[in-house]
Amino acid sequence: MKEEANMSSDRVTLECKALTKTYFSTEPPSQVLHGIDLQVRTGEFLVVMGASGSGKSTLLYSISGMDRPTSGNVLLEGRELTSLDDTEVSRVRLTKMGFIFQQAYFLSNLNLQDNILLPALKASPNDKDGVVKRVDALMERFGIDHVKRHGITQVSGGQLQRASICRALAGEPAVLFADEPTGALNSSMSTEVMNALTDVHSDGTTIVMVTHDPACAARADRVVYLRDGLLVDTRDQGKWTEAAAKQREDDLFSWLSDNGF
Amino acid sequence: MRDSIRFRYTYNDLTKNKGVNLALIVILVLSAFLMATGSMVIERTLSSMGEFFDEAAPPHFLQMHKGEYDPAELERFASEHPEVEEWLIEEMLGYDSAAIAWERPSTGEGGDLSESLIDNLFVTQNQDFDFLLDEDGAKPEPGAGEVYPPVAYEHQFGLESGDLLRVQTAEGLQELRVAGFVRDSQMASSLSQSTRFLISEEDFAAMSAAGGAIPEIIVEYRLTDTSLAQSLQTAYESDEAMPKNGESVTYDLLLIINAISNGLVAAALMFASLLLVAIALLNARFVIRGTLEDEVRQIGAMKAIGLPNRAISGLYLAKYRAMTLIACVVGGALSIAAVQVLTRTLQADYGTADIDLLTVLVPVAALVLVYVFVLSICRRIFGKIRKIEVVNALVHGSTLDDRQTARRAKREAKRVRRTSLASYRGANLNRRLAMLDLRAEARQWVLIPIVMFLAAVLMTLPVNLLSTFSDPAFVTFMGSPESDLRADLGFAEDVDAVHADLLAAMDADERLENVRAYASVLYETEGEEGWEVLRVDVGDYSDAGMPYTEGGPPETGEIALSVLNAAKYDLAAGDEIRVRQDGETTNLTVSGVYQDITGGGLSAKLQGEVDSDASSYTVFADAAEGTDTADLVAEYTEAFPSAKVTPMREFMEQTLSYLTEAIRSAAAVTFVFGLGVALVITSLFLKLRLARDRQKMGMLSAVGFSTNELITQVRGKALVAVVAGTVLGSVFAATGGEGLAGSLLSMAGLGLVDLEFLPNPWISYIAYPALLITAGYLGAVFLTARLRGADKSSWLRG
Repeated sequence: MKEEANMSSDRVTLECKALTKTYFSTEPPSQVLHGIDLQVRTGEFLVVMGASGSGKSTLLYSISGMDRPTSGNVLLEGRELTSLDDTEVSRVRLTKMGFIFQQAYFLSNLNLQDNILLPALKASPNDKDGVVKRVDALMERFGIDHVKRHGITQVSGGQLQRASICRALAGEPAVLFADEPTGALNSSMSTEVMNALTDVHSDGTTIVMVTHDPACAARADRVVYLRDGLLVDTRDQGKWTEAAAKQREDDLFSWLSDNGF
Repeated sequence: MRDSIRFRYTYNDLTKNKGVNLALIVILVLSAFLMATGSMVIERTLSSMGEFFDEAAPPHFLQMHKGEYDPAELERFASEHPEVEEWLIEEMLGYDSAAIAWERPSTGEGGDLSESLIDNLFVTQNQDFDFLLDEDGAKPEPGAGEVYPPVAYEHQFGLESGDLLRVQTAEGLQELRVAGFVRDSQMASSLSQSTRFLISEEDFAAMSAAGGAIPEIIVEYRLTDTSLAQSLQTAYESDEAMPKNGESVTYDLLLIINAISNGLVAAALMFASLLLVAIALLNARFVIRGTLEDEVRQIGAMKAIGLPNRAISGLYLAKYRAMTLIACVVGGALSIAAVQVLTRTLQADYGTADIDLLTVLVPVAALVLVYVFVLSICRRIFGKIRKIEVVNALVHGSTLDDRQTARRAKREAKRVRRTSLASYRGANLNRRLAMLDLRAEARQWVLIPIVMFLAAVLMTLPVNLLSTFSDPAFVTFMGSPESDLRADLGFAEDVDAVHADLLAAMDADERLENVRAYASVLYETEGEEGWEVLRVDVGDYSDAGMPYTEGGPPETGEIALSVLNAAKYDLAAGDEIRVRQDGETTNLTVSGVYQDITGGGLSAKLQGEVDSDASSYTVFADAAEGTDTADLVAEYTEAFPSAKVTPMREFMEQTLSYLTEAIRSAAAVTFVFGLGVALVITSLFLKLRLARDRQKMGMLSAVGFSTNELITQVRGKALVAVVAGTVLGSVFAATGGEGLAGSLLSMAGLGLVDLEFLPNPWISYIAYPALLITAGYLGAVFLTARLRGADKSSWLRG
């Protein structure tokens, strides 16, 4: 399923067509997405940018099956998601998707390891030993194995966010969704988390990330720009390297400025 | 300015959190309603009875008697006692209920009064005191051919003015027209074994001459001071020349018997109200703590700009002030209607007292008490504001100070070290998560078991009492053995002969088993002021299945005492008691103490056999298998017209109806309230809990838990909490509740000290808990159903 390191293929993992989303709980109802067409290629690291209220997070949650779009289609590996019921979509999230949020949401009554194990154990209840081994390896890879028995109030914000990445990867997802994963972190922790995500992407994991931070967006293969619920611009950036990082950030920043960011 | 801020905050909060505030208000309204109703019923009972007693002027001491008596001796007794202000002998004609029929000429409807098991006494209006009053409180003087039956019969048989009453005399039917109904200060209570009909002097003379009635008298005394009634009773009973083979009653006993049926309802309502106040406060505490956590940053900001703690808590308290005030006003208003319904019997029996200042003040005072109590507790809970630290509140959004935060982290760390999903062997991850949640959030969830516990107790106690009082075995609390039927032989010329014949017939009857005969004999014993009457039932107690709270049944030379007699003479099993009969004194050993709530609860049991000169006889018997008790009763009633043969069950139902009716109303009210509270509180709790758990649910949803699984987790937790509370409540009701109800009843001075519940287990321990659990669970189902269809991202976004 995964492609060669850091190579996005021509195969499409996730696709949405004519996607709209209207919130009817407001008066009058507010349409946030106005017909989005988007394809995410297998192994691609895609970043969605835009001003506050442009509909970035709404797009992320609509294509990940967390929210139901008002109209349009979402296809994951060619399978239509919008026609599935809640239980089926949940199963898709469990087995094919991983999530990282701005806040590191964890269950306070489980230790860090159990929090990471939770979805993977749910997906493969009969392979407990295999799952535990995989999670232990992930925690070691992201440098948090020494705090695996800790409670979530006993570790740092950066460690928690790395634990989020471990949890998202434990189920070997087809797509990893990240909603402002560094939004609540200071710059050193941000770098820590983005290095981890870059590392994950280098394994061939498809990532869709929403962010405000051009430094984070610079890591992506492609950046799309959203304005008032419409996809208005796309920028292919190619492979990220640490050496060219500064130049890439500057280029991205001027592109964003052109888009009125 | 300050007031307008408070008002705006209160208004905004009330409209923003409609559901939660509504639920709290509902519980508060119920508490206020019950408290106001209870206090008003008490006030109405006491003033209606007071006014009625003032007008009817019941005797301060009375003695019933059947048979011969010497008026001159009574005259002498009265003249020897200066405390006797007035006295009279009321002559009465007693008829069996079956001897009285009624007919409505306009419709042709009719029937007889045989369903009633009490004696029907026809009397004329007294001139000096002890008046029978009509429904307007006037003293009716019936004209010839007119009759005023008791109000109790008006309701029991649906009699109306204008109906014809036909009384079977030895010379034929005496026809009387119902001209109205009378209230009776002496015999209003259903504990009374007789009731009075008012007729004219002419009819009385005619019926008396016609024969067929058992003549009976009541000797009645009005005293200069009611507190002298007890000593007059002692003097009367120790005077051998006085007629006294019937019941004797003092004014105080009359008051107690009359007050208790209504008082019991009021006490039950107020007890229920207290439980509801407790429930309301538990909820308020939960809601207030939630509010403080939600608004900790605002509170921090207010503290930072220098607002004093008192001003901040005043701002929040304003909402609770408003809600409690609304609840007290609405509850008070509702109670006015409820009191009308609850005092309907009271009004029929005693008339309606005028509304005066006290009528308004009593419930208002009760409501003020509720208001002050609720608010003072709320104020205490808001006292937590004082402990909130500005920095922790503003920076960390925490109500805890550093030390508390550290303690909590330590506690959490300890807990998570103990749990491990990796080593969890069970298959159901959802169940595991739910249980871990329950454990971690036990301090919040404990609200549900506590409320369910209280609701279960609230619902189960009255229904247990009801089934206890309705159970045939309850007769053993009435000083009688458990049996299918009883025959009472009162005073009659040939009572000894009838008794012998009846006993012989019953012994020979193969359809009857366990025939046991007891004779009521008047003994005397030494009281505080000399010799006084001791009513003793003499018979064979060797095999009578009756429980004793202390000791056992009497053997030869022994006597068993009722609880109230044992207390009166300060005796226990093993003690000696001196008794006297016909001038002969004997010492008896007290063999045991039993419970008896009949006839004022003062009785005794002596092993022996008496077949002559008893004041009355009672025969108990069981129907053999396959025999219909009703047939036996009919047959023996016909063969022995002077014996009163009754099925035990009906005897009990009618005797205890004053208690059972009161408890039935209380049980109905608490049943509805219990279920309502279970539903409302679980809904309210879960609404707040779900609001708090939104992010957790959002996260679980993102990592692959379906909404159905999340709902199942919440419902599972709710079910565990609901079941735990209900089961504990039921267990408490069955164990500790027995003692609680027993001590309440023993305080009522009924002669019960050790109440043993005779519950209907299907109702008390299966149906009620099941209904309560269903109600609580339904609350969870309603609340969680709304989770479906929600956009999960909205949970994460806060």
